Amino acid sequence: MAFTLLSASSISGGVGENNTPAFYVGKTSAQTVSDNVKTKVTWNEVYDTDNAFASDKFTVPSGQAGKYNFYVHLTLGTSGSYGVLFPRAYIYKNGNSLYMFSGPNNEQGNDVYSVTGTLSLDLSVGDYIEVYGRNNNDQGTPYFLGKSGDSPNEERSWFGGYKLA
Amino acid sequence: MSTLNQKIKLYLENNLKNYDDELENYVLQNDLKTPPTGKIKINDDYLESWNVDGLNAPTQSEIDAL
Repeated sequence: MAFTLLSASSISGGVGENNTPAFYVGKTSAQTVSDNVKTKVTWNEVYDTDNAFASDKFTVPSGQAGKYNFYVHLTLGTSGSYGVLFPRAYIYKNGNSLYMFSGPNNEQGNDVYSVTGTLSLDLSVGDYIEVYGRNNNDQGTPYFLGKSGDSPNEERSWFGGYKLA
Repeated sequence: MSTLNQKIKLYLENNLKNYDDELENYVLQNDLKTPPTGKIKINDDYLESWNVDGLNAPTQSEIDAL
């Protein structure tokens, strides 16, 4: 059996590409929200290679149309001992809700619950992507958790993305 | 002060609808800015869509009165 070694320059996509624009944002403090209201999530920037993330949304920069991969992890909590009934996170494209990631519909409630999702999108210049969460809660004040409170050292919510090709 | 969801729940119950049954038939939203013109709202929370069978969406005055 014969093998052929491929150089980076001979491979289309992947090796040798830098997957930018790329960004990653976290959440340094909790965001209080209203019960059962799909609410835009606020973020704190960690890195943003092309200055494409502003006002809590990623916007495809000029000359960077293409396929993008996004990932989100949103932790929903309550000031009560339990009460998070149906945790959900949404990806909005250009102001429209297009994708939902959900946790269990738990009538007993949880004190915190994290929702995670990934997706790929084919985007045009100027398209923008946002994250919303919905915390259906029947006890205490609902919020989206950040790196604070009972978890001062660990990230609880984050959002990132990068260009595939 | 009651939240928009609490008032929607009251509105449903006052019209003999079961809140749990209707929970997925309306959407409340907050874009962290002033809601679009004409939307039923409390502060920046607003009624984005309503699809409750046999019951019209509440008006702003009906929500304010609850």
